[in-house]
Amino acid sequence: MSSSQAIEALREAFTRLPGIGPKSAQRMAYHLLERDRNAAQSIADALQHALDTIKHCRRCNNLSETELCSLCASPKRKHGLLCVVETPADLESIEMAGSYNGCYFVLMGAISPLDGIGPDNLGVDRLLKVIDEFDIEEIIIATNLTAEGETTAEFLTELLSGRDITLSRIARGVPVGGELEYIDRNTVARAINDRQTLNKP
Amino acid sequence: MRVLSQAAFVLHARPYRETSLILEIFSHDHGRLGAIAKGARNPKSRQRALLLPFTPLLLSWSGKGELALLTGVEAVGPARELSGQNRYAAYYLNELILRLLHRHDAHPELFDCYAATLAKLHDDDSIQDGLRIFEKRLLAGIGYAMILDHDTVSGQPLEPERLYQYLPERGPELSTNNRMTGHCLLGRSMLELDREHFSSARSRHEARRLTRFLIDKQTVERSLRSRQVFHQVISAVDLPTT
Repeated sequence: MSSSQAIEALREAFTRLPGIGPKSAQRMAYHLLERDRNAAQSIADALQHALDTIKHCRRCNNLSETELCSLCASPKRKHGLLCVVETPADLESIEMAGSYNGCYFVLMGAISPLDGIGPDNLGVDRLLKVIDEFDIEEIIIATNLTAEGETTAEFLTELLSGRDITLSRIARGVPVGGELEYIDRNTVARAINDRQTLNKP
Repeated sequence: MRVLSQAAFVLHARPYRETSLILEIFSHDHGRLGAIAKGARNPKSRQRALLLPFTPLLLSWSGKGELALLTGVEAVGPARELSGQNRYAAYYLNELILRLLHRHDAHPELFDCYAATLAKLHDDDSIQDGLRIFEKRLLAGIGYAMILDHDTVSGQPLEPERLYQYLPERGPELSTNNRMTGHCLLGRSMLELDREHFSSARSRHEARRLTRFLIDKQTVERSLRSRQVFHQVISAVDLPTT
C-alpha cells in the first residue's frame, strides 16, 4: 500500500496501459514523482493536448487533428480506392511499404466473438456511409490473417458483395526471401491454395 | 512440470507485450490452461501461423501456476479453415469451454468430443446436432448432467408422446396444466438427445431450447458474448450455412 491517495491514483491510472502490471505502474509513478518531474509535466501536457485535439477523420476513421486527415485530403491519392485495415499501426505499415496510393478506412479493431466485439463495436456503419458518399470503386480488405482478422474479412465480404464494387483480399503465402523448406505448414498450405495463374492457355 | 507434445487446441489468443501472445489452451490430459508464447509475434517466429484456434495441435509447455510457458508447437494434419455460420458455432464452443471449465481440470472425454465436433464443423452441414451433443456432454462434465430418461417424480421411463416440464437442478416431470414453472417439451425430444440421434425438426428444436436454457443457467452472470456477436453479424448479413 502506498502512503498517499494521489500516488495510489497515479499507479492505478498506469495499470490501465496495455502490458503494465501493478509493479511496473508503481515503478513508473515513483520515477516520475521523485526523479523526473519535468518529464511528468510534459507527459501530462502532451496527453491533455492530444485529448483536446485528436478526433476521428470523417473519411478514414483514423485518428486525426483535422476533420479530414492529411492522407484523405491529399489530391495525389486515388480516392475511389479504399484499403480497409484494423488499426492505425496497420495503416502505417502499408504506408511505409510505399506501394499503395489509394485511401484507407480504419476499423479500429476486428470482430472477436470471445471478446464480445462485433460489427456494432467497429466503424462498420461509418464505412458504409463513406462508400456511399465518396464513390468508392474498389476495396482491398487488409485485415490481419489472424482468426479475428479472417472473421472480419468474411463479414465485410458478405456485407459488400451485393454492391457494384471490386472487392479483394491481401495475398497470403510465402514471404519475400522465404524458403519453402523453412516455412510452417499452414502458410505453405495456404500459399498452394491461393496460387496465382501465370498464363491463360 | 514439463509437458511434451500434448494434443491441444488454442481457444483464444491475445497479444502480450511487444512480440508475445497469451493463450488459452484446451488440452487432452491437462484440461484448460493459460500459457505465454514468447516471441510468437516476432516476424521470424514460425509459431504464429500455427497458433490459430480450431486447429488440432501438439503443444509442449513447462511450468505450473497461472501461466505456463509454451515451449513447442506442432501442427497435426493439414490446415483447414472454418467459414460462415460454422465459424461462429466454433467460437461458441470455445466460449463454453472458457466460461464453464475450470483451469487444470482434465476432461479427456470432453476433449475428444470437442475435437470431433470441430471436425464435423469443418466438413458437415448439419452443425446443430453436433452442438447439442457437445452441450450435453459439457454439462455432464461439469457436474450438471441432464436427466433424459426418466420422470424424476414418478421414477417411470419417459414416454415419447407425453409432455414434460424440465426443472433445472431436478429434471423432467410430467407436465400438469396448473403448474408450468419449468421448461416444456416432449418426452421424445429428451430421449433423442439422450441417444444423440434426432429424428425430427421438433426434437432438434426442443433439444436446442433445453440445452440453451440449462447453459444460460450456468452462465447467468453474463450472457454469452459469442452469441451476441453472432446475432449482430446475422442481423447485418446473410451468412452461408456451410
